[in-house]
Amino acid sequence: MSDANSSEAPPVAGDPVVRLEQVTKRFGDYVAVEEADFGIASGEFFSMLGPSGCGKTTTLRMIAGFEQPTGGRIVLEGRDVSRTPPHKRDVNTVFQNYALFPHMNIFDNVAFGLRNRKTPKDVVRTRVMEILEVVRLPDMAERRPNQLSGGQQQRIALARALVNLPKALLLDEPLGALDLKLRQVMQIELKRIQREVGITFIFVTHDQEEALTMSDRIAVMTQGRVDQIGTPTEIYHRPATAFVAGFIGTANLLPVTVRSQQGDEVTVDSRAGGQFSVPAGGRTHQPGSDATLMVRPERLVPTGAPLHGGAPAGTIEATVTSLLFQGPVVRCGVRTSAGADLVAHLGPEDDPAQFSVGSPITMTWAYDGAYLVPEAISADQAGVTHMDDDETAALAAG
Amino acid sequence: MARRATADDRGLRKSKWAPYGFLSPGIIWLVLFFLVPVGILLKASLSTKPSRFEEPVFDWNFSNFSTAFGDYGTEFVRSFVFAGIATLLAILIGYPLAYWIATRGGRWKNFLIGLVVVPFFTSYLIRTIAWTSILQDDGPVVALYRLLPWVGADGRILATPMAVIGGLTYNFMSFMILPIYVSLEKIDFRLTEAAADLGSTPWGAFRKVVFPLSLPGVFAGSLLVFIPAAGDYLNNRYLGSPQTSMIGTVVQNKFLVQFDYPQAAALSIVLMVIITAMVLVYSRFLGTEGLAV
Repeated sequence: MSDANSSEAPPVAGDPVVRLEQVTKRFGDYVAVEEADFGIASGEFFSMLGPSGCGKTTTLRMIAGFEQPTGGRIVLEGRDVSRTPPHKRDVNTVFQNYALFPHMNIFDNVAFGLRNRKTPKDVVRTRVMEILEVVRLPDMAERRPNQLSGGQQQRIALARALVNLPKALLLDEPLGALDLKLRQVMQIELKRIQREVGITFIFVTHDQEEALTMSDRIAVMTQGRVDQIGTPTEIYHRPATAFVAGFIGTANLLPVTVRSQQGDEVTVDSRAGGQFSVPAGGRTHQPGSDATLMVRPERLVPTGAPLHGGAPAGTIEATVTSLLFQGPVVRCGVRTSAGADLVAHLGPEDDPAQFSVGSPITMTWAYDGAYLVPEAISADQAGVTHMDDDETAALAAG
Repeated sequence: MARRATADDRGLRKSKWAPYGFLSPGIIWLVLFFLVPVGILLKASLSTKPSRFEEPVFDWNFSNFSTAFGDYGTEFVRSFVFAGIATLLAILIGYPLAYWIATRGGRWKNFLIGLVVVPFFTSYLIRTIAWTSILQDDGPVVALYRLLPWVGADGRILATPMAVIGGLTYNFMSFMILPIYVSLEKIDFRLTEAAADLGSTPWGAFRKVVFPLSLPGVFAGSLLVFIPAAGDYLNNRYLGSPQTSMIGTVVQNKFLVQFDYPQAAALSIVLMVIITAMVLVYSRFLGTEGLAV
């Protein structure tokens, strides 16, 4: 975690349920997780987000007890559980492939954890039926897992874990196997269930939209490190690194050098020429240091269009390279005179009809529409972080 | 029009008869080498043989069956007890081995399973005879055996039920290991993680999840060991004595030494019927349907 964002993370209310202290996991020479250090508050919906191989699943498996950290401690409600086997930890997991027991019916699957704790028979029955009610599958108790659809199995896996009222529920890409429509339904369902039972959810996903929709806080991970922890809004608007800027949504990135700072206003020189004013985001930026200017596509507009969030921060001369109609917005690809490809989302107020491919365009953004990421990027990282296939094709053709 | 109809017709007929086409070699094989011999056996079992060197005459002679039960009850019981113990031992020895290979074998899995089959490279008869020299009275195994407090200085292993059961267990062990291995191999071991996550100790996870899911393999292995073991005569012949004779010994003796075909046939049929009944009861008891993943 970069120290820059620790001031941004909201204070954790009370003692965290789960605390990772300098947790490191090595497999031979390969470092899967490097010094993960954060706490998860009681009742929080906490997501670990990152591309595959970033260490998020390994971190989750260490919290569950399936892996042991090679360094650091995992503390569950004040107790060091780093070496405690999974069956003695008060956390439960919803597995990516559900891992329902195929030889048991749904009732026995859900009752499994309670029976392991020698819960009286009548209590088991009440609790199982209650939780099946919560996941809205009360009539499935007698069925076998293979008689259920993927979405239903998902709910049963959730019920089987939740019925034990764990200190934290660990979810390992639980929606990965579902189709898009069902996934969206389950996102809302998960959120509802979490509110209903009030249990801490620790959710692992590679889908940034999923994380943004559901989480109270997100830890963005890459290459075994936590790049940033913050609320979805913070992570989207104030990314700590260029990776975070690009991984969450689409971002236009420009390499800049800090010229001066006055209060919360930083003046930067674009490597491609031009000078801009950017909010400092509560940080102190050393004059002469390299940084990255980020403008989201929805904040990048042609000059003359209405601006939200202060005076124009500067202008960039460019040429339109592609126009893709996407319904609510027109996705407009432009190439700056310095050769960087940017993307702007033009709404009706921007009058996209006036542009055509090849026509010159002057782009601008409001002072508040940009953010200064305190990390340098190389020249070939400049420009938009995600390009449509059509845009790539248009550029290749042009 | 007409041509098209014929083509459609032929296509339909082709799809309808194709499965039988594929099945026919198997069906012909079974009819020729199973149903026909069983018919011949049935006929022989109801025949009378006037004398040792005459052909049997079919005369609805049911006395062969009453003799089978009356005179050879002991051999039947002994066969099923020996085969049952051998099956149990094969599970006790074979299951941990199969489990170990399936879970810890890693990239050696196929090699280790290959080793399980290696004994088949030598003939069954040779392997059994080899046991006679391993267990011979002045051999090292018996020398060790005699050290046991309840075994006298003249204790022996050959010609005892122990040797016969040991031979049966050894000879049919692979048939137990292979199906158990296959069913264990199929199990998604993330299920044991799920069980541990839900509070099961490693032993609890095995007992409630892995073992129930491997039962189809145990079931198949038990049949593959019990059935041939119950009808076996070689192990008793080389490792046993007349006091340990099994029903297979009697049948073999009747057929090949005394040429008493009707009696031998009746004994075979009784053995077949009892085994079939036992298998049916066993499969009911250990019902595998619903275990299918």
